[in-house]
Amino acid sequence: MSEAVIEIQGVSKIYRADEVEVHAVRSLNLTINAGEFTAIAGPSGSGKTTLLNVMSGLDTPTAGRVLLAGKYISEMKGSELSDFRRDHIGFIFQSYNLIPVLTVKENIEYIMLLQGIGEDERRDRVASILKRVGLEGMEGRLPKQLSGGQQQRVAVARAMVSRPDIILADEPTANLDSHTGASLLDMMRELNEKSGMTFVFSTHDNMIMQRARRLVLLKDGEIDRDEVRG
Amino acid sequence: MIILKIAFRNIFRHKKRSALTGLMMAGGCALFALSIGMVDGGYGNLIDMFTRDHTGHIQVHKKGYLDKPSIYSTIDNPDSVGKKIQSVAHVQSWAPRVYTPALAFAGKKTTNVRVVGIDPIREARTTRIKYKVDIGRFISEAPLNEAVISDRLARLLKIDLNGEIALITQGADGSIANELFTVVGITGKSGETSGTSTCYMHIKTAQDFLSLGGGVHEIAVVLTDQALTMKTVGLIKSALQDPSLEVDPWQVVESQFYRAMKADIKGSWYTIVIFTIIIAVGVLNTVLMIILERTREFGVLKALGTRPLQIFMLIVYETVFLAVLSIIIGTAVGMSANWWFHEYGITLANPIEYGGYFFDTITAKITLRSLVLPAMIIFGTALIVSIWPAIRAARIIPVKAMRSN
Repeated sequence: MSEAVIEIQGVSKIYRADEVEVHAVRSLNLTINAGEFTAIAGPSGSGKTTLLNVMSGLDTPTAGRVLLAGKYISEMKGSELSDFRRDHIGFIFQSYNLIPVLTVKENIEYIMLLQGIGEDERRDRVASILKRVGLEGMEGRLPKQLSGGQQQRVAVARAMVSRPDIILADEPTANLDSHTGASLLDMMRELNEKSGMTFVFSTHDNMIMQRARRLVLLKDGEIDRDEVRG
Repeated sequence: MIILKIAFRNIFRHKKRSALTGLMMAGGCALFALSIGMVDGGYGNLIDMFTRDHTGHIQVHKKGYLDKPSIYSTIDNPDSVGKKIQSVAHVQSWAPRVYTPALAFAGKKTTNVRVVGIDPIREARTTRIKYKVDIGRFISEAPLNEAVISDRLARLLKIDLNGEIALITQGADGSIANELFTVVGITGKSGETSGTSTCYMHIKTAQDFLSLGGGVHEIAVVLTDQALTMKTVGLIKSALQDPSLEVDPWQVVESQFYRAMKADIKGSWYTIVIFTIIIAVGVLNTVLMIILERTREFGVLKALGTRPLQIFMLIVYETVFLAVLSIIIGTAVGMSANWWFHEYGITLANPIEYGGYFFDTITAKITLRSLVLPAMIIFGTALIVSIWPAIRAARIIPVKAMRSN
């Protein structure tokens, strides 16, 4: 049996706006194991993004706890939380969110630089990941000189290169056309198979759901279905 | 290092905005440098004018003479005192003087006059009085009944070169002193003497005229560097060891001018403070705009694991980089302007009177102060102004920030 990377223990998240309370996630329990390629799916407002934010420590749960890499991330704050995210979580955002003034190489290196990894190792890792995401020869380009698909590949490379415990992707193909989105997903799945890195992504895209090895369907902030595919 | 790199490149991200903000800081820096240069230069010239033209940097008198000038308050051993003064470090030269008010006659004209007895040799080494003679010549080295008069006195008495002037005053022995003097020179229309009725004569002639014996009323001292005045006052006091003598710097001798100068300099500082506030508001506005526009970006940086302190430093570095670039440009422009005004100055159509002295050219002075102070003011302002927005950026909550556009 695979080791658990992340354990969500009775997590609820309630948003309050004026007098109205919105239960985005309700007493949710979920365990993600190492090496999984999991899609968290559901219609708009089902709580996918909220769950991902709580899992990553970007948002704090109203109730419950999140255990990641043996530590309760939901109880961390400030620099401790920043350092933990830097060392254990890789992010892929819907809008790519590359640093516009840094080149492809520098964007990929960014987290490693924060971690204080030496130049030789950084260079080797960047060269290797650029090959794996098919962006060789583009390391000197700025994000604005890349297509949406290429930018998202850089984001994948940035998320993977620091070798985190888990990569969380919030609707990674939402801004891409179907062909580019499918190509990106295939690449992510291949990387997952070859590196054994754990991927969790939120989506409402059928194409992504079909490619996931585990599908967690949310409905009104609760798990409606959790199925593991072959 | 990566934070520094991002900060530096961010300056060039919005070129027009950075250029405008930079222009404001560079303009402020240049204006401060020029303003300080002009103040230092203007007052430097004025101080040089009256100290070198007449006053000297330091004066020695009999105790109480400066507050209440009297013909009887004399330094009776001027040569001995002079020798002691000359032995003090930084002293370039000294000159003894005798003063008295008198009544001057020429033809049917009469006026009050200030008689100044000077040693023509020592005076020429000490001040520029000799070079103020525009018409005729300076008084002879031998004690003759010759006088050099100011242009104003010449106009009042309607007297010309080689004309005779009669002076009447009271001698130190109580007698009525009266004598005829031949005008051998007239001092120029510009400078310290143009506004006063002054009559220069040989110190020996003046001493005989006033029955003063060998006594003098004043010893003017000129130093190698005006900045050493206060220090040298102490050195001269120690060298003289004479409680009956007073040693005063030009700041005391010309206290009215000095107070006016101080007040004027204080006023120019208020102007600098107002400019600084305007620059601070401009820079603050820019930095706040940066925070607002890049809220999402800061959220992403924090999500990726950038520490709050690193976000804080990113904003501070950006502001500081822009400030440093602006300071380099502003200092270059300001110091170039200072150099130009130092070399060529501004010639005034009508000479301005300040503290009884006239000057017709305003020049700037290139000093370390005019180089360093504006840079420090701009750098400090930019640094202080960036702190609050930087704290705001560091406190951004990633999940909220990433929802913003």
